[in-house]
Amino acid sequence: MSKILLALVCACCLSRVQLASAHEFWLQPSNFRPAAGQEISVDVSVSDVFYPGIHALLTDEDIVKFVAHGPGGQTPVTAKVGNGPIGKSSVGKITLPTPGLYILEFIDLTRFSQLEALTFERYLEEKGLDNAIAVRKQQGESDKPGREAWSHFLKTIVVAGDPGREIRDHALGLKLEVICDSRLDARRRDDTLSFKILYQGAPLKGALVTASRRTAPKDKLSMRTDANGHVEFKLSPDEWMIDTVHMIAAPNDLRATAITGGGPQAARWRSFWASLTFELSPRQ
Amino acid sequence: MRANRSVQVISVVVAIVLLGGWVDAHDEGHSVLTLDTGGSSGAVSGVLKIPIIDIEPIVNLDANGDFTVSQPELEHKSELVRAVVIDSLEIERSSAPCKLLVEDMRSIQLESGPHVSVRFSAQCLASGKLGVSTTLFFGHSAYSVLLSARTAHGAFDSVLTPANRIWLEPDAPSWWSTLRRFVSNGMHHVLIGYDHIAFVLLLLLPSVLRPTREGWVRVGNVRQSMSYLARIVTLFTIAHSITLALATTGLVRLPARPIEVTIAVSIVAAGLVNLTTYSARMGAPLAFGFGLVHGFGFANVLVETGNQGLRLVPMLAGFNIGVEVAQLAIVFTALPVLVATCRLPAYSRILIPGLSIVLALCGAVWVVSRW
Repeated sequence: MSKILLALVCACCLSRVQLASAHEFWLQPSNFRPAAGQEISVDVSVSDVFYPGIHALLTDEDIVKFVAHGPGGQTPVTAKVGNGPIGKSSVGKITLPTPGLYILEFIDLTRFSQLEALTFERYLEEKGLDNAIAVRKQQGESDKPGREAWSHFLKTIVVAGDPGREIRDHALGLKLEVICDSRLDARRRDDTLSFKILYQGAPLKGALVTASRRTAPKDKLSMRTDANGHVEFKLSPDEWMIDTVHMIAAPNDLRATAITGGGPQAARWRSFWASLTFELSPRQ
Repeated sequence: MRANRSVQVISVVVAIVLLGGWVDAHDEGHSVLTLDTGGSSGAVSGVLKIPIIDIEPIVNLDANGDFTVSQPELEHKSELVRAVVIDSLEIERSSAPCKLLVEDMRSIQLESGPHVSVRFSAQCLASGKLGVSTTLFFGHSAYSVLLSARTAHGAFDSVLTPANRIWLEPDAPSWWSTLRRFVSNGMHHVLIGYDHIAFVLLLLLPSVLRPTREGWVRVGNVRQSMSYLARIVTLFTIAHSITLALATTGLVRLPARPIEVTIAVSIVAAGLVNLTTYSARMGAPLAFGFGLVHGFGFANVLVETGNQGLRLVPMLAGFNIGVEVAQLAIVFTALPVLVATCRLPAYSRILIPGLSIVLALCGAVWVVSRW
């Protein structure tokens, strides 16, 4: 009987993994492979699954950094929604002047939200944030609302014209960053791609990383990072998003900021959301 | 014998894993849209109430990080909130698009939490039927917009979802049309609502057995099981009807949280009762009680539309009928499987107590989290 009960508990835990509630955030370029000199738009997209998303509406003050790293160096992404026809324009527009690989980087201002206990626990479970779940349980907070400060560290890889060399992602030094270690060109069908998760420049162990594809966004692949912050996924040609969330107890300065903001509550948690979007083309 | 036990254990585990995600009950989210064509010269006035929790990922409202959105904070981002409304809402009259003008927005507190209330006007043709189309679902496939419209032809209610996002004004208010919309909403509510499915399964599990002094024995034929289930479903419907009457006449109004907790408690109770042969006797009262409280739960959602009295009837009735239809679908899907598997000794010894314990634990988690 004890074996059966143990099995039941395991099953119950497994069933918890299948929840879906939290939003995904990603950079969605209008074209992953534009011609050199072509202008593209880039949305910060939000949805409960990767694609289709809706545009996050941001003002300049909401954005810490929005740039493209290309052959000619770093170029700002301009024409944010606040400057364009309200609501109808994409978040950013950029012309990629010369052929080559461009990595677009987006960081937003820290945001604050409070979720009901059930919703917060569900989000922690979905994102595999076991440390936060354990701490909340240990401190008797599991049935209390979750107050969180959060921000995004988003990347997308766009190739303008003929890049003239192999297509590879590289680290930009984001606070939390998804980096593809494998070549993104000359793929065969269902090749295994390797990804690395860095938090403050160091490999992040045990992070739940998810791969979502445009043509079947609900069929997610998930894996925890190893001690070197690595995961591997077998990916076929499609548009892909690789994402992860890391959560820590909110540092004191953040709590102080919240308190001086005039509210009675302080942030209890600080989360970092990272995603990388790219297109895997069929082998030429 | 050991192999048999292993098979039983694996079967139970697989069954539960397949049920997936049950620890979480449904939390679909909804905004409320009210329209009124009472104005002169074709003006249509409207109010859209959006939960702040839903709009926050799209527009960063809480600038100072105090976990509330003050009126100045809302006004600071009013252009973006306006963009959300203008972009996601299309109103037409006589098939001609209306021009939307946001007039005012407020940070307000409703029963279900803090909301942004956006008051707008729509410049339309002077007469004709209204049409509403929305994409205000915040990227959630299970999101809904509850619509209440008052026009020269009467008062209309509907629900808009990503799968059914357009409403066209009928010739006259029609209970049938409102009811039909809410039937599909009720079915959807059950099929993504794990607490409903859990409760129905808990009632189903012992339906193929009958209690004796020695324990459970298999019911002689399927007709007996069907008769038991028909009784349960009828009681459930009666309970819904009582709730509906109380809600529509405004005789009883209960806050949302105790109702949600009670629903969770009823699942714990149903799970525990299944551990004994008393479940054969307790199924009916549990079904009655669950039906009663659930009806109240949905009534609270509809109150946010501002509707009262008889106008709520087709909405509540449609929703409840949808709930019934979906639950009957579960019954008819699961019953043949139960009839086939109840012949195994493991059914009464392992499957009923095992599943009942797991579902009762899930109910307990819901109780704690909804408290």
